[in-house]
Amino acid sequence: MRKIQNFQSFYETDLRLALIQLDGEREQIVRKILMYSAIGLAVCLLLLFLGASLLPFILLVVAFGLFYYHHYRKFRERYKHEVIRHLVESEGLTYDPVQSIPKSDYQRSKIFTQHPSRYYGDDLVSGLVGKTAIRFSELHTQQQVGSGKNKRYETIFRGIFFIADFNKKFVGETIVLPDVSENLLGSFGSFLQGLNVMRPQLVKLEDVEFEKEFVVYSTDQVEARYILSTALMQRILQLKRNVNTGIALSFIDSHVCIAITIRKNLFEAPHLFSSVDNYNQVAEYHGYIQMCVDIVEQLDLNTRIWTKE
Amino acid sequence: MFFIAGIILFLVLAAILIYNNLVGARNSVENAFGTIDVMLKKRYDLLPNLVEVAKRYMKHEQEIFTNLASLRAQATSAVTTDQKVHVENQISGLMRNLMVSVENYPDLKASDQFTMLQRSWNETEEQISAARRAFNAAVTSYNNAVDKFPSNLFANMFGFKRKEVFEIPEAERQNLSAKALFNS
Repeated sequence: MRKIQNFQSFYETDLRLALIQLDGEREQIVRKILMYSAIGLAVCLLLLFLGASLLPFILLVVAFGLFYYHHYRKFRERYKHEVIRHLVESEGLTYDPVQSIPKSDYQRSKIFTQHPSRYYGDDLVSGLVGKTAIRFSELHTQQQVGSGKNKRYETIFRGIFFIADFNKKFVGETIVLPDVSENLLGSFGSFLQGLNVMRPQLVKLEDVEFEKEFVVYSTDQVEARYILSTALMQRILQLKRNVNTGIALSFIDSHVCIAITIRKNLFEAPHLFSSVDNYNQVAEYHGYIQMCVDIVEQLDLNTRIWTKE
Repeated sequence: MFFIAGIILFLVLAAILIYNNLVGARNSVENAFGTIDVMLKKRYDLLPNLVEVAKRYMKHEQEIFTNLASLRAQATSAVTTDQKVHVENQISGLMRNLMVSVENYPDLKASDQFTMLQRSWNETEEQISAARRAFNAAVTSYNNAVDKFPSNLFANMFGFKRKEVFEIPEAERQNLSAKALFNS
């Protein structure tokens, strides 16, 4: 399924030229920033010498900040257009740097029960991998806790939110979450999971390894097992090992939604004072795109032997 | 006095809870068994259609068709669970053989009607397997209640007996083997 087989050669032949060009533009911007800063600093020092207060310095710092932000924003757009878009399109998918998975889809997945009071997202990737339609984007959702002076925002989810068409038909809702309480509290934790009023029925599956990592809730005991076949449970475990971070899944409306926790801002240009011709950084971004494309194969979503085509 | 009354009240409440839990677990087992029956019924309905289409193309598998017809009749008249399970396993085995033989009939494989029936068959097979797994989970939870202290005391007193789980045939455990049939 992978379109880019050897990333190193792809980097050299397809990306390097654009990156070098971008880096040239970046150096020009940096030179401009440094030049204006030097002039500003000289003027401030002169004013200080003439007996002025520290106000010009403060104004200089603010001006520097605004100037940097303005240029970085434009540069970031260029980077996304030249580098990230190229990475995505080389995998046969389409890219929109501004859009994200809509809030309605995020909420419909029912992976998170908390209502997000802040919802940020960008870098929407969509397309077909074999027969399977996929979409994913970066998301950061937060909920408000406390009020008045104690008001603050806590992260609900940060990472990549992935949605794909599932290969079996079903009508209910099945949610697969990381198992925290059973790992901490053993069978008492499992007892507590059964009492969770925010979730449908607890489903106890026979795969011990899977049960150790995940807790499953579903509106239908049989349907949950129809979706989570013994093979799929092993595939989800393997996926968790591969992405090497926390994952939560839900099977709703004939779709599978996967929330992959990654606690950093992805698909962004580095700051203006470091080179963009950075193999490791681009390879890391490509790795995340590839990880999402590979989910289709890992969960075997292109196998269409059931009535859903 | 109040202390003793408190203890008695606590014991009575605990007994009610434990008894209700046992009854609840037993009912879930019956409910899960009912679901298997529903799924099997779906398969019985599908079987004649599938056989009908396959028969038109497959000239050398008459024996399989005859056996399937007789097994279907046996399945509908089977009384005990053991009989049912035995017949069901035989039907699954025969169908697997039949699906492998389909490879020798390109016209049949290319038929849209047959492909759709074959997909429905796979779906029903997986649903039956899921229903069996749900039944086994319900039985395990019921058996735990029957065996574990203190509910085992009540289980013995009120005649709650352990129940047997379904043995899933080895071939069915590899439930993605059907994929091989399509990958040619």
